[in-house]
Amino acid sequence: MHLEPIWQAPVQQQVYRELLNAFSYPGQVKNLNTLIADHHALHALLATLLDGESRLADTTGQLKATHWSLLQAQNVAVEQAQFIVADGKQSTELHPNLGSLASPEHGATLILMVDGFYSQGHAVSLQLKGPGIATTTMLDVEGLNQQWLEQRAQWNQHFPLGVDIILASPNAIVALPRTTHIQVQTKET
Amino acid sequence: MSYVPIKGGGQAIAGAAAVTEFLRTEQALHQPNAQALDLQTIQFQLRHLVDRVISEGGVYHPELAALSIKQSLGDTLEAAFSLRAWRSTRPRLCATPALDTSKMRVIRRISAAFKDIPGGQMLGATPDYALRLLRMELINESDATFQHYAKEWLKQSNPTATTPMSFPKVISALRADGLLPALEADRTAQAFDITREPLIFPVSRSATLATMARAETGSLLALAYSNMRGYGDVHPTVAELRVGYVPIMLPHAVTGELIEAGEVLVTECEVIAMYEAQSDAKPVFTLGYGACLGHNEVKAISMAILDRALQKGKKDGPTNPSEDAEFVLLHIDGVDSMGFASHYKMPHYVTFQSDLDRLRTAQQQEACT
Amino acid sequence: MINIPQKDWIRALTAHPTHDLIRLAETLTRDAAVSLLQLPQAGLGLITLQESAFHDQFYLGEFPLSSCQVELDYGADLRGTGHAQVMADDAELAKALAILDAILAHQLPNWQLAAQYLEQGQAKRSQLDQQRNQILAKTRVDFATLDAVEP
Repeated sequence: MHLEPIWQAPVQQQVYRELLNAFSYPGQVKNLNTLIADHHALHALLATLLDGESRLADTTGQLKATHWSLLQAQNVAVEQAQFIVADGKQSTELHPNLGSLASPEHGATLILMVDGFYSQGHAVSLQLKGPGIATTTMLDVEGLNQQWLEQRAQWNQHFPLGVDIILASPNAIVALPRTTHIQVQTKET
Repeated sequence: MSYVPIKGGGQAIAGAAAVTEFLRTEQALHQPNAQALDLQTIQFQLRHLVDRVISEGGVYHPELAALSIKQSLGDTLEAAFSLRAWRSTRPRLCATPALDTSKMRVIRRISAAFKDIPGGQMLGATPDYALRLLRMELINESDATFQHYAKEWLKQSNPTATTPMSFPKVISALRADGLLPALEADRTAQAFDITREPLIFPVSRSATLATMARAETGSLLALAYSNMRGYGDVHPTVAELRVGYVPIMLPHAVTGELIEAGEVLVTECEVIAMYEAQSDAKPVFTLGYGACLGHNEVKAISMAILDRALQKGKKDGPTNPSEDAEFVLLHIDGVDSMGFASHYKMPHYVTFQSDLDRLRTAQQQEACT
Repeated sequence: MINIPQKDWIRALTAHPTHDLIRLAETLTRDAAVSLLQLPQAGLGLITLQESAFHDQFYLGEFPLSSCQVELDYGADLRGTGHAQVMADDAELAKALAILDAILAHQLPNWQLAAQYLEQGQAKRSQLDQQRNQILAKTRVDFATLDAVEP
């Protein structure tokens, strides 16, 4: 039977492998173009990660009824969600689950929708350090509001509690696990 | 304990697999027209064996249970293990809403407590009243005789018989007469999923029932028997034992109406045990409940007796092993127990070397004194 | 007119071999656009029982479950949604049953053929019910004859 690529198990396995690589090497851009054709990377991620027992909060209102029906995830409030979708350009104050000392992995995963990983004048330039990064790495992100990084710092201040972030542009992903140290580079105009 | 990883056994292991397959198929050397076991043959003619494996494997898939019996050459512990392994590869889609077993399409229904029960008693297919004499005529059973019987039995049917398929529970009547403990309003707690969460004692009754439902039959029977023989105080009477097909009902995504997706064969048993005083009400009978997938009466009865024993143990503290939840629930799972027994066959060379060294030292010291 | 209630459709249809149902669904949707509202999936469901002693809920075990939800569109305003959950390990079967559910529920083109399969399947299930009835009828204990006083 014909299924769109993002719903096919072999494609999902490869998307998952890219995600694993993204989390292992934070800051590295993983392009999903060849795998997912015209689908948005966000949808590929959600299709790969979620099932009927997952709890998802969509703060963008982007996901339509048809998406929810296919994903089968439970539509919950941000505070109860395992996965949260939000707009990278607009920072809204969120109170996600930060996990517990016994189960820090229960901290939510936040997927921020951004425009891309290049510099086009309005990009925020990030210097990244930490596990999975040899020395430092630089990452330009178009469409990311810096206030998200301020919120992230709040959420992650009591490591191991915290939130892991995946940045999703239309065809690529970058992972920013809670272990990654982020410094915003100020741009000279 | 230290396990020794070995390289040298690779060929021997491959050889063992081939030899096992040889034994599985060697009938062809002795019988030119020998045929591979047909799964349908196993499902139809060895149905209680299939039911045991379904129940201990924890998943209602008669065809795969038959396959696991075939590939394990009839070893029920290995067969249940394979079935459990298979189920662990499948995604979980949902849980049914609580099914109503009074809707069971009954094929056997008896009571030891009462003669007259609403709907009557129907023995169904049972060896209970059979003489345990070997049927020698089955040694050379001809295909013709075999193929004849079922058709004849069906022909002798009474087409106007209108026995209902489903019956009310016997204990409903007892409950209506105030002879059983009243039902608490708040017992609709979420069922405990033993396939996802470990048992951390004290466990809920939900976890207890689920653990016993997929327990190894012999283990469950032995512990229940200990209670029956006097290491316990249940003194049970079977209020009702029923065997039948319970429809699996799931809500339609559009209409919300419950639709029948299929049916599972279930054995269900309620036992009435000694009555006990209640602090703020009249004395009432106590109850035990047992249920399992497939047709397995000994298992359901044992489970009901242990359910009652564990309730008593929880309330008054255990005075016998069958009343001790940790003792019972941690020793009845067939995969756990056979796995541990089998692991003793793995190389324990380093550990044992250390034991040898310590013994020799101790002997030397003994010799010196 | 479909005389069989919707809750019994899966039971009736699955009396037919799987490949017959899949072929029927394909035939009946040759001129329709079939969209998946829920992916065809094959996995396991948990059996929840409410035990009769204290009405505690517990999981008896698992069963193979396949499910699917579809929307059929034949154009000219002829469309409808169907859903199927079936005790089977076969996502394709679930999809076929969802298609047949839609066709029967909304009386979409050639629904009468699907209704025929429904009736035939129901007849087979009735035979099975009859057989089980016989098991009960032939083994019913007649306590009256036990009580009869010896002359």
